[in-house]
Amino acid sequence: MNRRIFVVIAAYNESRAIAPVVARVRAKYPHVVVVDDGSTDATTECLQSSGAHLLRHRINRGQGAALQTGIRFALMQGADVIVTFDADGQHDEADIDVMAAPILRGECDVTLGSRFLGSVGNMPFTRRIVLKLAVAFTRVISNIRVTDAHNGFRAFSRDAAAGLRITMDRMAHASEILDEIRRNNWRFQEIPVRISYSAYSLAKGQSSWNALRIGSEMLFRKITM
Amino acid sequence: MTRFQLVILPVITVLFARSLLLLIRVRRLSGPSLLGPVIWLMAGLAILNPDFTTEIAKSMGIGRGADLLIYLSALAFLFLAFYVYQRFQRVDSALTELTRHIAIREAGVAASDRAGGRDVPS
Repeated sequence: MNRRIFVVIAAYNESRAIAPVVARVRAKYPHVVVVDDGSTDATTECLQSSGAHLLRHRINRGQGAALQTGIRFALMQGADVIVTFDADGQHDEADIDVMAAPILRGECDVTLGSRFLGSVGNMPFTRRIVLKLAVAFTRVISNIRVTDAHNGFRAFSRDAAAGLRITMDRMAHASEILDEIRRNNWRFQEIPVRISYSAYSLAKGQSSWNALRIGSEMLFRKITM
Repeated sequence: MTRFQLVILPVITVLFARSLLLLIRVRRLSGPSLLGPVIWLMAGLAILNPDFTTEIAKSMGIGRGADLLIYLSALAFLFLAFYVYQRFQRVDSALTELTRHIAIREAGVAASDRAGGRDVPS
């Protein structure tokens, strides 16, 4: 396959976990873009010899902003498909092909990873409830039916990535991406992906209380924009 | 004249004069630039003669001048909060765009260095 898959990883203070994640992805995909979102630890330093494209936000701007930066860079490098992947090791690099395949076949413009269609290792009960609520919230607010609204595993065709405008710099970008899918009438598919929760990824992930903040941020923006 | 008026009126007068001077200096009359002098003038009038606000309040169907002032300040506060929020959002996204620009530029320079100084599109 000569079409170029770029894997974009946003990282904030991930020095403990990111090097093996990038190494595993790089072993299969030569084009990995890591956006260090103003980390205060050695995230960039520990990737110097990884062979990945390293971009560094001088100041922390949030995951949405970092993904948009990585996507823009990947487009400049001639990406055909852009896959976003989490830095904390909860995604499985074996799923990248599965995510990219429908786009490469021209069946859709965007694929969204879903942990509820796939298998989930060790998902805590509260996390499950909060994610289900987020799905319901998304159905109302963004008017889009998905089974997993906040999965960082996504793939975009070149055209979709070029049209994507993430303006919610922080975590509400997940819902914003769904809004973009609706607004642009992109064809999307949900793909079952494996998610493995480790103590590390849970500690790094969003606290369940934060979901309230993300939801209200999204609502407020809807009202004021 | 009450003690309050004695203390506050000179302050208001100075602020009024200052905003008027600013207006003369910029030599450009526009809505927002008139806002300062007008607000200080109204404040001065309201403090000098409290019945002034009551008369306006009554003409609007609000009983007391003090109530009118409370309503107006609540409105002004909401307006200000909204304005500041929107302004903050604009500055925030400009900051993100700038951070992004620098990150991509630096990555381009690093790639160019690796490629032995050849230009890499960025």
